[in-house]
Amino acid sequence: METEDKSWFRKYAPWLIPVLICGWIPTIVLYTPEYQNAAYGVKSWFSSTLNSKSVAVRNIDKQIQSSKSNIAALENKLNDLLPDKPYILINTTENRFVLRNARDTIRTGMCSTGKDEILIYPNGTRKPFKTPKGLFTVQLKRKNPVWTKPDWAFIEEGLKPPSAHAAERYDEATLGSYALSIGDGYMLHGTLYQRFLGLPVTHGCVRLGDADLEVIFNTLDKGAKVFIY
Amino acid sequence: MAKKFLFWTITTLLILLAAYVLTTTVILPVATKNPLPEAVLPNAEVKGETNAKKSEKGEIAPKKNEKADKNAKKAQVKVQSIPETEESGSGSKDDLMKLFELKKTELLLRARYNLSTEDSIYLVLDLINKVATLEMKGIPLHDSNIKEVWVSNSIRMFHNEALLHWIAQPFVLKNAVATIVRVPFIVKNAPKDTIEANKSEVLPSARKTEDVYIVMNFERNLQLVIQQSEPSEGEDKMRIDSLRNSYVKREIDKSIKALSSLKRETIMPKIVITVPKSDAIILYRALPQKPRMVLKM
Repeated sequence: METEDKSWFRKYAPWLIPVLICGWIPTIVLYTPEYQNAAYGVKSWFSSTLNSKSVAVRNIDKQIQSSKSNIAALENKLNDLLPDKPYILINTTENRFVLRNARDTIRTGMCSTGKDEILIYPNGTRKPFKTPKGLFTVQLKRKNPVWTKPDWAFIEEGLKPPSAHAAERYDEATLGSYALSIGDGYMLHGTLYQRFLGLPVTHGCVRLGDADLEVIFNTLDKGAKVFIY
Repeated sequence: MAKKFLFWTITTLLILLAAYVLTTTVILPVATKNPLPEAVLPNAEVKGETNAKKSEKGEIAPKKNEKADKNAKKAQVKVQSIPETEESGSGSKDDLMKLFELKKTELLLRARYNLSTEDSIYLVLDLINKVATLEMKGIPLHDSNIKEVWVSNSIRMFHNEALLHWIAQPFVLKNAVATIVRVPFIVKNAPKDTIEANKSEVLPSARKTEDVYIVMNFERNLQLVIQQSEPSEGEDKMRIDSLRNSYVKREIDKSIKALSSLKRETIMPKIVITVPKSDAIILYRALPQKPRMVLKM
């Protein structure tokens, strides 16, 4: 009996591998989305054969025309979205800005944006320093702006914040020659630390070099769009 | 004898399985339509088109159009995108292809226009011109040149109609995993006094960012992988490999589960784009938590 079994195994053993391949490769293909791509490769060959049969469509010219006019209308709508007035794009990852009008670039350069830091106050309050992303508008333009220092500016220096209207709160130098307010206390302004332009060092505002700031101040009107990304 | 019987039983079962698998993965998808997830198109889009045409002539104010678009979003009903076919008639294969391409362009523009009414940044992935664009309110914010694109066969081989249904609406991100953090916050304790503040003051410098590999899983099963074009080395390479391997492991687990329950997994169309590292970081960090993406292909 044993000899019979052995000879049987010798006879059928060479079939074992092809049988396993036939069974398991397609199984893996079926149950693994990644491998199904391979099956779709085979399908493309079949498809080209099957799709060669010519298929006609009712009123195809009319539908092409209709699609063309829809495309033209949508393109017009999208073109209408481009601002008529100059706007600015702020790239917080690279700390760069692009000042544009509807079609062209007016000026590009370096800026400084939020340092992505969380300051923990002695009482445990957490204050994030981050430039917000999204669409903003210029709400106020000021020449020779005076900065009213908030509490965090004192806490960060190890000082106790003074009363709301204390003289120490008013700083005439830090914001540079111009400031454009974009809401929630955030501004585009100048800086005393020109050497840090291009680095993320601010508390959330956007700092610009003197020459760039002057151009931006003179180009952007109140209501101009500020895109921060 | 028993062994012989067992051998033939297993062989027969495996051959039947092979035939079943070939039928379901190759023969049936070719003979019928792809069983792929479809986008649901708004019902009032036809109205939107009519309004668009009228507004071209100046008959309708843009504000009214916006209202129609808002209404369109509310009503979600399936719409036939590809025209009905018949065996005979006018229209060659070239015309069909032309119509198909026009429909694709139309859907992309419509999706972009709909997204422009929202207040968040979205991604326009143009695989034809190889550009990934961050847009907001219809305004391109940043263009990234794609160095390499890899698209899985399952997308390339979609039947025309299935492809239109698939790309008709923007893809919404379900989850994303990356080798970099979205917001690299540093936590700092406030100094107790001015002496401590002066001591802890350090000159700012450019932050080093780890090499980038991002896996984004969108709805309708689309997986988008963004990888950097610069080669990775050392720890960064290990981190990327580990992320890749974790996905392969997850895939194997899924397959085993599917095998054990005999439930077929839905196909996962995959797109891999290679962009410069700086662009990959910008794309990942600029997009919101649940961004939308429009696909042009």
